[in-house]
Amino acid sequence: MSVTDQSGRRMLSRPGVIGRRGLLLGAGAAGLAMAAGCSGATGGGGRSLRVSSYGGNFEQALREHIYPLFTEATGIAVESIPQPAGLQFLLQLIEANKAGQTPMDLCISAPLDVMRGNAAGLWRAYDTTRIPNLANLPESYVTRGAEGAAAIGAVGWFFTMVTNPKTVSPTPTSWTELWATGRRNAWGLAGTGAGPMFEVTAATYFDGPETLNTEAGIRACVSKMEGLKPNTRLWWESEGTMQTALENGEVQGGVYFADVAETLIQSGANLEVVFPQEGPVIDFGSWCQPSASTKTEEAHAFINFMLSPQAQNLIASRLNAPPLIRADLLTLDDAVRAKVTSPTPPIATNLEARRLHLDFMVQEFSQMLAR
Amino acid sequence: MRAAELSVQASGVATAPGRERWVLAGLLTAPGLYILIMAVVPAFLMVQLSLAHREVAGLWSPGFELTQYRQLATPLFARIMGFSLMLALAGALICVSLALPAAYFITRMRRRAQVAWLVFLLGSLSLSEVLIVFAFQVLLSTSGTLAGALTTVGLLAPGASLYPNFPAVLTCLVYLLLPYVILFFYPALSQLDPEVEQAAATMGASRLSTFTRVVLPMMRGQILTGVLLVVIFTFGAYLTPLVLGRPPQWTIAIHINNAAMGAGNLPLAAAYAVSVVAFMVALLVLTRVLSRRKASEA
Repeated sequence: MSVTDQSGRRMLSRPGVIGRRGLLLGAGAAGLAMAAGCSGATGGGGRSLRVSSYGGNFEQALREHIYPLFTEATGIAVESIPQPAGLQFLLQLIEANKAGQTPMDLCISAPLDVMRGNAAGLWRAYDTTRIPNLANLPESYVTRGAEGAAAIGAVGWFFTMVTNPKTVSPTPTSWTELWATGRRNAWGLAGTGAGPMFEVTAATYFDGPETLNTEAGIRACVSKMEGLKPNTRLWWESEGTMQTALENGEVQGGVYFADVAETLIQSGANLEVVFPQEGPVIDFGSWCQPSASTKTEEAHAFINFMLSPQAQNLIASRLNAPPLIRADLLTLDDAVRAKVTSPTPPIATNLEARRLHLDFMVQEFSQMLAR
Repeated sequence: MRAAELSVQASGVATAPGRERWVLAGLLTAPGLYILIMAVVPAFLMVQLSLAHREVAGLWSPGFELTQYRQLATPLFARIMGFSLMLALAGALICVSLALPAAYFITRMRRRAQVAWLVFLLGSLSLSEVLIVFAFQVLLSTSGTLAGALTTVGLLAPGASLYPNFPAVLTCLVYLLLPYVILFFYPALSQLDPEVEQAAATMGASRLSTFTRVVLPMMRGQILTGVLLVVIFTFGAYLTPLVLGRPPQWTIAIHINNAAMGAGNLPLAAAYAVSVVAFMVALLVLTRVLSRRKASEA
């Protein structure tokens, strides 16, 4: 996996298992995933599907708690493959796909990589009539390419405020706390070039994420972010770095993935996940099928199952991640609901801004940081 | 070439110069091909990529344009290059001034002690850079040994830590490179004729002035090469400034990675990389010209 995450997409394996060692694995992990896929034996001779997802807790929870139910329901065996997030993965996948040898039949892809894959002709379009449960999913989680739906929402994740209650008390209620004068060197914030700090700033101080649709709006946000610099001890690019900093008490809190923070809390870290009144930032991963994979039947069945209330309930309870289907279809107990839903509506990641201005955002942000 | 001649003479086999040339060509084919395939071809591809057309909503498409190079004409790029060079020169200066006396003293030890030192230095090279950088992170962190000790004696405010900052980056880089530089100076220093120093001593020179006025001038070429070695290594430093520094201390390598893997802007990353290579080549040429001029003056 890569050391960076610059565009709000998940670029790292989940740190719960890999932790800071994550930094070392780099392209190695990608190569491993590719190699694992090429050997591709699922055994049994029955119907099977190779599915890759972000390695670590994420892939483990899917493999242990959700895929067996799918196999039970459909008779299709799932070979679960850990997937590194990041551009190397996408570039390798594009090459493998050209050679007709994709290591998996379905992978999880963040919105920007869905877009890049589309531009490179990587994804196969789904036959949405074969996925009746697609009706459960809001249209905003379906990405359409020239030939139809190329990516279907799999799982969401929140970037939210995480604090150490020992040093940050009382618990903050607003993102404005990140800018507060008494918090010098306190935070670890996402240092990625076009990451969630744009949405946080736009929603807290401007007219919401739409502010980022123009260069003037982006400039205004970046100049507001300048005020974060004295308070930021760590501009993190990899989940693992921030995890270490949170656990060591190097930072008092900051912006982090809500689901990873929950996992850290469950393993004993003294942290608090805060959903600020402006809302957490939500981003999501989609199921994508490389065009060289021919298992369309199985892929449709798999996605249909993953969009069922049963699977989405498990995503909430086992992955601590926000389900994407309509809330009225879910049956969550109160404790799980509190972890995966924000009391105020989440701030959606502005993809259109990235599509039009990604390079500009990265350039302005890097200049601000380096000043 | 001279070594080959010597060995030929020593073995007593008379060889025609023509045949020797063929042998030499044969021996050089493999490394030559390796360099061609592994360095020249990728360099060409990198230049080609830097001229490609960037698709913001995709990756890139083939093209021939200078868009990315125009983007380099920003204060940011000048700042990053300036910082990378400053870091590299500071690292080189410290490394060389520590390594030279260290290597000198090692060569003046008994044989056994010399071997022990060399084994120790080589052993320290076997540690991975990643391990060392993270060990530094732990050492310098709030809960780390060093910060803890300094807090106890009152030199550091409680809760403060010794990174991320410029000194942390520089200290770790020097630690990483010092063994290389000592090992680089060792052969030349151990071959210095002891009679030269004895002569200086006979003429009344102290050990210090022998070192500064006799040994150092004789080592001038090696010192320059040593400095360049560290500069080239440090200019491309990635992990150390990333882990132990703040964004203003990010080197060009980090920005290349951010452009490529973060923004997906591979043409810009390639343009950065081509500029760095051009800058390094210019630096080497300049050094060569200057040292030649110095040599011809002398």
